[in-house]
Amino acid sequence: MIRAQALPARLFGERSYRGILWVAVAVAAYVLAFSLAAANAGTEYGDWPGRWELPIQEPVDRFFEWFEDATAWFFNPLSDVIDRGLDGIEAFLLWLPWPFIVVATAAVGCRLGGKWLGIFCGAAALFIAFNGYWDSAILTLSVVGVSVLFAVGIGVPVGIFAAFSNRFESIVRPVLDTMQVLPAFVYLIPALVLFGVSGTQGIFLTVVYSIPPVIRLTNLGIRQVPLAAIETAHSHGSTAFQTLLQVQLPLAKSSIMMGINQTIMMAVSMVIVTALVGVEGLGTDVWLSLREVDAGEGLESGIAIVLLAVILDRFSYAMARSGHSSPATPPTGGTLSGKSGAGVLKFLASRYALPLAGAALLVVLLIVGALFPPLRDLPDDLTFTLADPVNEVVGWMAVHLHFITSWVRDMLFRELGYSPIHTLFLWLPWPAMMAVSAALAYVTAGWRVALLALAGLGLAGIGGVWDVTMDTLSQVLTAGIFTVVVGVALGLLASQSRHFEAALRPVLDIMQTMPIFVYLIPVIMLWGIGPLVGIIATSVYALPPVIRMTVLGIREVPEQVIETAQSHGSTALQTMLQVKIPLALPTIMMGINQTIIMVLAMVIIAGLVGGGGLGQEVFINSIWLRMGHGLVAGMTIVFMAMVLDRMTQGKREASIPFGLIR
Amino acid sequence: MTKRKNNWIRLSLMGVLVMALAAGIACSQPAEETETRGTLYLVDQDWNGQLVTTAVMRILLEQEMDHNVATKFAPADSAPLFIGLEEGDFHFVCCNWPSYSAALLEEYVDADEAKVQRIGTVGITGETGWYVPSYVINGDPDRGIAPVAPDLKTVADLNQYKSVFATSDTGDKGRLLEFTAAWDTSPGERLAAFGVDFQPVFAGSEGAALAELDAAFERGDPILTYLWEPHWAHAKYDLVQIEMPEWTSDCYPEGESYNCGFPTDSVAKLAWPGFQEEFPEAYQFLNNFQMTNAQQNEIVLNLTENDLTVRQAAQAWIDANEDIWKAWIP
Repeated sequence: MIRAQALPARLFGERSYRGILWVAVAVAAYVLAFSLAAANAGTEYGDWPGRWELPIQEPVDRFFEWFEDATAWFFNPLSDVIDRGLDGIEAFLLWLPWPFIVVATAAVGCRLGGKWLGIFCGAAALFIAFNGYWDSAILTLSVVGVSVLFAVGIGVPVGIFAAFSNRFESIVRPVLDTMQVLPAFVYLIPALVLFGVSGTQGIFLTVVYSIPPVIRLTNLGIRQVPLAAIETAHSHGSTAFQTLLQVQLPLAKSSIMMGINQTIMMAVSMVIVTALVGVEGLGTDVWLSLREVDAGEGLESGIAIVLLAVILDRFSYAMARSGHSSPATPPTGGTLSGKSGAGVLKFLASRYALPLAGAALLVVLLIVGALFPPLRDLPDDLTFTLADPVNEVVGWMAVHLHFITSWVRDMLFRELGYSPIHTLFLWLPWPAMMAVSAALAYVTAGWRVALLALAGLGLAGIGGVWDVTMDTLSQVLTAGIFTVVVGVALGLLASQSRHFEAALRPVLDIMQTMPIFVYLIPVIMLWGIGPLVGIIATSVYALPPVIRMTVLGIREVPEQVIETAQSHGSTALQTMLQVKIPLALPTIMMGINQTIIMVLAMVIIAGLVGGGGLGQEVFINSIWLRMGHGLVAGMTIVFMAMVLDRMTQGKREASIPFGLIR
Repeated sequence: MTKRKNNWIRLSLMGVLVMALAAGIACSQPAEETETRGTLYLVDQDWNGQLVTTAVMRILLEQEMDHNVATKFAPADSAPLFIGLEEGDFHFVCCNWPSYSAALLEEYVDADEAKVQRIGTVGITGETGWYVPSYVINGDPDRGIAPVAPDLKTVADLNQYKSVFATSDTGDKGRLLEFTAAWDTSPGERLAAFGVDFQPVFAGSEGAALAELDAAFERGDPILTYLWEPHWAHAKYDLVQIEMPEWTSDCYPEGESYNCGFPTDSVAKLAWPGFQEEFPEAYQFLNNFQMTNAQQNEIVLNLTENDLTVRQAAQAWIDANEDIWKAWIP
């Protein structure tokens, strides 16, 4: 019986015949695309009819103009108030002597995560200080801090509402999806006019981008509270409000804290964009270094951003993990009543040791700092720089590695990936493109998503960005395919070797936190400019989730299943192909899903290194103050993201919101 | 349960306390200043020539005229800059290049209702053109680079060297490196008018284009790039400008013809419309302020060669040139 089966079926199992069919179709399409590219096929055939392009941008522009005038009375004063608050916080943090903040960071780290976290945090703060990025880091910290306060203050109540009303949740969900993928450049200009060029504007942009996780996880946390707990509270006579405050919120606390943790990380990643609207800090440093082609300084400010992000991440993660048992519970219990004078002192000392020590340190530093200024403000000549050696290394690489990088670019990415796909998409008549997309969406995710795909492509056509959209779609697919192939391969390797995984992990952490602008200079020096560079940079940026989820998926395969397979005489390769990978597939798909969303988020950045496409469209229109055009391009990106997201999630009822897997 | 609640309360109390403290500090500052004069906000942009010029202005305003000056950052000639000047978030910016922000100038400065005020020129003249590294024409024996385009002088010579400048993006055409499609530089129209078989490739941003230029110099590769002067790149790289037919009033953007070079830019000073009323002396001073290309380049060179900060380089120039700036102080 087994012998009678064809080889593919033996390798992949009976049910995978369908899969093989799909692979065959894909290969056929690819061969067609490749031969088209080789034949230099004309592109005009597939164009969207020009007469169907409608001027839908202009009413949008006019609406914004009206909206700005109509709401100035409200937004201008609001903006002033928030600005004052932000200025105050910045002034306060800059007024504090720097050693105080270093020690405080270390102490809080120690308290939350033990000795090693404390040492790491202190060292990280010292590094930022002596590397000369202290003031920038403080400014960035203030903006991130205030933004997160707003995000939590708005996000938690919205999340609570969503948890109690299914209808409200179904309205909020697509709005959150949009907020995460719509490039900030689209609403940058309208927001500029509302809030002025100010810290408020930066806070607004940051809050819009970073608020989704806290809303989602508050909603999720409250919905996950066991019904039994709520019923017990009710039977004890609690009102709905009391139940919320005393049962549901406390039980959802660790979930909410996870949401806050993600919000913080996303807020940090906005520093580069907010630099464009005049928010000073580490983002400005990155921007300046780009303009002066100083890869070394770019790397330094990038490291400062990474260190800041890691400190904030570990802090909030530790708080989330600590969950129900608060770390702040006093070591010695008891109350104040019925104790002698000395007892009270001892009690106070034990309970408030940390704040008291902090206050004492602050006073000492202020006094000593007045006599010895370097303890107040770190002088410039005490700082060190890594910039020169880094620049030398980058220069060397640009000369000596160019032969290999240009081969990778031209052969792997251009000839085998981007060029055939792009030619095919431009060659396909637009109705065929729409039909194929809708069919694929229907097969993988159902008719709603098929409609979504049609709507997105229709918008691109009517809005006059059809060709640009095809360009972006081919870039996204090229980057996506490369990332998935390389990512799954690396993930499989890492799942077989603990050492390899241990070596890979910090690299992945850095890749995810380091702002992409930081490695743009080295990437351009090695690969040049153009769409291919955008694709390569995007692939690098989007690799981590797929590697992580592959490792996780393979590791999660139950031991007994593997043993059973081996006891039936499977070789290691057979076990891997027939047991581990199929069982890990759902988890791997989650990684692929995340990767696709990250790839799309990078589309806009690719526009800044000559990637063209929708990213460049959005960026240029923001400079030319054409909000309507920017919005059309931005919404096309959003549609593309939603469709690809749903397609890679498969036909599940409750979709997992993007960006939620650690 | 109560303990947990206490934590929430304590956390929120702490939050309120911090906010109150911050608000206190924030509110106490302007209160003192209204007795004399508010803070004057100058704009820092992302290029060295602008930064040093602004620093010279700032130091003089602080030290010689007792003003309270702060700087805010805005990317060069961008929408945020103009919106900020309109709203009064910024008060003054030195060094706006008209041809890089033609659309914004039309909407904010030259419209019937001016939302931003122009107060004369800085004295710096911007020149735009196409450049190649000098080793492309003359070679560089020290680095072992042979001259690949020895007779290249004008745009008319470009066709015979198009294979030299070809890349994998442009096939058999030569490549013209452009900065961003957001600038109105019309490379396609110019190439067509010159009858040159080159293709413009947009780097997407200034940083990207300069990184590409830097890599070409490191490798000694030929490259044809759009660039302008004054720019720090000329101090670091030896670049030669390709001659173009001179710009006349028949040429774009005033006329229709593209068979021309670029018009020169008279770099301008822009201000918030309420500036003169709010800071009359500073207005007078900034109106008098003039700086030449050579002076600006000298400060920038001092900055990069001697590893000074922007402020140090500006101070050094002020210390050495008292006779020049004394005349600007009202």
